[in-house]
Amino acid sequence: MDSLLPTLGRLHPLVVHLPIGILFLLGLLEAAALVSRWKPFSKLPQLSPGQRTFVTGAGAVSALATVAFGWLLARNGGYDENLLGQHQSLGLATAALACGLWLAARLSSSALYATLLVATIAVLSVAGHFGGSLTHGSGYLTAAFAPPASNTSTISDAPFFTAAIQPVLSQHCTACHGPEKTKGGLRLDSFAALLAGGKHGSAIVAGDPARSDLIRRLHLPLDDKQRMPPKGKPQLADNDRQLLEWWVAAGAPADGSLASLAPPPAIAELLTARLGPSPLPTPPLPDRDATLALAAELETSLGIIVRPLARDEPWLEANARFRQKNFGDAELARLAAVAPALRWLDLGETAVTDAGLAALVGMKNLRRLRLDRMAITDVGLAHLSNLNELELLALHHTRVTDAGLATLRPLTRLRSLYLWETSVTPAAAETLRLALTDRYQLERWQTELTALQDKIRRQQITIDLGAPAAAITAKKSPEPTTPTVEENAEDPDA
Amino acid sequence: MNIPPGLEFLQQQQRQWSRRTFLGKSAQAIGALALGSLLNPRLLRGAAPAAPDGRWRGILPAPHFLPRAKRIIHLCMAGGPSHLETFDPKPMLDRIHGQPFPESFTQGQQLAQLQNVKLLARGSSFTFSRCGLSGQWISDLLPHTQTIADDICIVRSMHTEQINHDPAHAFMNTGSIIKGRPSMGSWLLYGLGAETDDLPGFVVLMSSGPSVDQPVSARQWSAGFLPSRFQGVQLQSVGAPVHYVGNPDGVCQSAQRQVIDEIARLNGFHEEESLDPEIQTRIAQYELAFKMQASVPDLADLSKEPQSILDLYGVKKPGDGSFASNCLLARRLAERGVRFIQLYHRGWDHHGDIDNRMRGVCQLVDQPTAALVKDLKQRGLLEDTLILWGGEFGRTPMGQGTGRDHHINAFSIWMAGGGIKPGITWGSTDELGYRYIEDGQQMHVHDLHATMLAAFGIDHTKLTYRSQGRDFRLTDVHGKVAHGILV
Repeated sequence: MDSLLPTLGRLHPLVVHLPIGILFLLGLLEAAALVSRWKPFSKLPQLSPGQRTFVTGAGAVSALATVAFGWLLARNGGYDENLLGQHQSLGLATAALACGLWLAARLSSSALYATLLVATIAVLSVAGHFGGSLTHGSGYLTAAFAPPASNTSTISDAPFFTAAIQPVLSQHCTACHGPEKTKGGLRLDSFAALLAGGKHGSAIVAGDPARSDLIRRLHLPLDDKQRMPPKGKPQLADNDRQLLEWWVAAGAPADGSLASLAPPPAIAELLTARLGPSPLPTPPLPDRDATLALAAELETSLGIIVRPLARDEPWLEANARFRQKNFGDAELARLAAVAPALRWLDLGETAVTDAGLAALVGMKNLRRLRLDRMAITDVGLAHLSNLNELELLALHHTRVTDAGLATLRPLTRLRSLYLWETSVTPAAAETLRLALTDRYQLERWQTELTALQDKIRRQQITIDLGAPAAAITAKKSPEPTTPTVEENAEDPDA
Repeated sequence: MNIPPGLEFLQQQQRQWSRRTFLGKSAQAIGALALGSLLNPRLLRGAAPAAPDGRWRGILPAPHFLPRAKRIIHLCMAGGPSHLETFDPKPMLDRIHGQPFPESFTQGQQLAQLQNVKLLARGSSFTFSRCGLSGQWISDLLPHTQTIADDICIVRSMHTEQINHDPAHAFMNTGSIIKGRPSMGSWLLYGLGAETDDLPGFVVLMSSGPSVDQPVSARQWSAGFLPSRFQGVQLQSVGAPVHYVGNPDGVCQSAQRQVIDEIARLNGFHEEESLDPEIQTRIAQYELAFKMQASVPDLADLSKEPQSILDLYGVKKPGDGSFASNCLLARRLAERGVRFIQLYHRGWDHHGDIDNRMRGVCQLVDQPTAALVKDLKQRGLLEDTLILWGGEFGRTPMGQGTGRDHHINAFSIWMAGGGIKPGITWGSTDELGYRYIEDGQQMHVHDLHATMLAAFGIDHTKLTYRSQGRDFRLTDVHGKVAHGILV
């Protein structure tokens, strides 16, 4: 019984749709009957007195049931008292009006019936709206009209929590963990409330995502009772989850700028996209048509490849490798005309020198850059330090050293660096690798892996890995099986 | 009768255009069009994007979407390597070794040489290991390939339609068994052009050596109905890659240049008169041949390769025509901007004595293959070079004496590099390795072609060529891109 009553209470959001549907349909039918007096609409249906009594009766019964279930639900608690009180009285009024309506229909008192019908629908609408506010939060209906939250502010002048973290929580959490509805005694609508925690203790442990309840619940399997947001509710996007996780790991700072917090590249990108200009603005996209015309001209006059990377993309690929020593600093300087559009650039084996690499400074959108087998040194690498988009850099067979490698530290998006046949020591390469490794990414994968392993253990999924190890080791020597094959070959049936 | 103005006009037209007039005029128009297209074959095909310098830049102004691969090395294991001894371990098959093969599998299926023979299951004589961090299963016959497990994507669900070597090769290369269709190298060259004009954009090398059992016909790298400048060029793998590439005594390179220019001028006159596109091909070939006089000796000069690289590939004597030597050449071709490099290695047709012959051929192929992947990787070339290793079909899980017969329902290949997810196994076969499983990861030859083109940023439905009145494409009317293996 203890668990039955709250469960019945939870049926309220389901049952509530019956009186709403029935009473609104009734209103619609009566409106149709009214309109049907007008000649062009004479074919619209008219309710017979019997039908009318039945429908109003059904409306009254379902309204009473809804009130009962609603009362049980309210006993579970966790709702804003004020809003709940309004919803309760209006709900009761709706049920009473629906009963009156049924009575009026039975008595065939058309004036009373019409008045009560209008009143019922009006009260029902308001009661429903309050009910919706209780479940989804009070601003839910008008959220689209609300002024965008400080879109113009940059991270550096607004408290970081409000600008970056609060919007995620508002979108997914505060409907149930807000002022109106405070499930588990936890509110997530302000920084102080988040730190205060709820019935089950603190929601986050600054600096330790693994011990933070909020983060842990985000990663529980969808079927888990403790999972938040619970199954059926809109879930956080992966990047939002990463953002929260990183934020907790970074010590849950309330304030700070993108530069001072130094998030990993993926997070920085996300924040820049959401919060507008960052300290490192990305250059504007080049104009495609103008670029293509220039590219075609350069391709012919330089005898190299300068081509669009793909249809409908503004990016170019340039490849001078096959011109070899016929391509030098002067030729590279001419590529400045299309510099912002260059995405891939291959200068390998060309005669471009350290000084000539200065032309790369304007090519801020480069992702793949090949400088292998060139007479370049650490001096030339200095020109690469602001190529923030760079993902691949080939430097093999050049004279770069450990010192030059250190200048590549700012290239946080770098994923492949080729240093074969250079003077770079393995130790220096490893230092750079660690500096550029996305620590949060690794940690996240680890968490996901652990969650998966847990799930496998819990559900006792058996995984067949193909060949049983015993069968394989038993067959280490292939000879024993071959004789049978030979016999088969001599089989007269064969 | 009051006739509306529109109808009046139509009636007037009708009078002017009697049936006879219409037929007569139509015939004239068609004739004129036909003459026009004869005089200028490009009339009905759209303009060709040859640059002013005569270089071919590909019919596509730009790839349809962002490309991952820039070139492809196809290691064609001719003869049909057994998937059951290489990449697809089947413990259940081993267990029923020597017993009758379940009829439920083979009922009504096409067989090559095992027709009217009692079918007996044949387990693998070799062991498999899980390799690398990815834990992919690879046969212990391929110890070097095991070391690149984390770089390759094994596809176990390949299937084809052709059960004999030559048509199966044609199907793998052109997507059709009908003669006169372009091979995949020709399609790529037609679509994208090549990065270099010093070497052919589509080069074929064939291993010479002891285990040669099947001829591979030159139609496998033909350009089919595409202009013949897109056909594959086979380089000799023993000795000089191209015969008579040097100038005869007394002819210097500048004199040669004058001769080529003069021939091109004369051919130009001829083309203006006859408007035959093959003359353009001829001019391009003279020019290419002239450039190859310099580029080929440089390409074939393996003396600058350090001993460590020769050892990596297992090259005993550079230029000996071995698969190892050819893999090294393939890397050099890739470095020089060749679009499509195809290496044939024959000796996989193991109808009998499969155990010993597998050992032999794996020994020849395994090390150079792994070396090629590693060498491209250390040069940063693996990220935009697609490597495809595989044969034209697989081999039966039923024994054929001491060997296995041709099999089209299942075989394994692997891909690596440009745009391919490394360290994964894609698709699977049933418990006896007889047939691919239809789990959305099955890979028909057409699907392989579609996926390969997708790695180059090409939508396989949009690279077409009109021949004999209809648009053709590499995947014809089939092909589904396996997005799951693309990065």
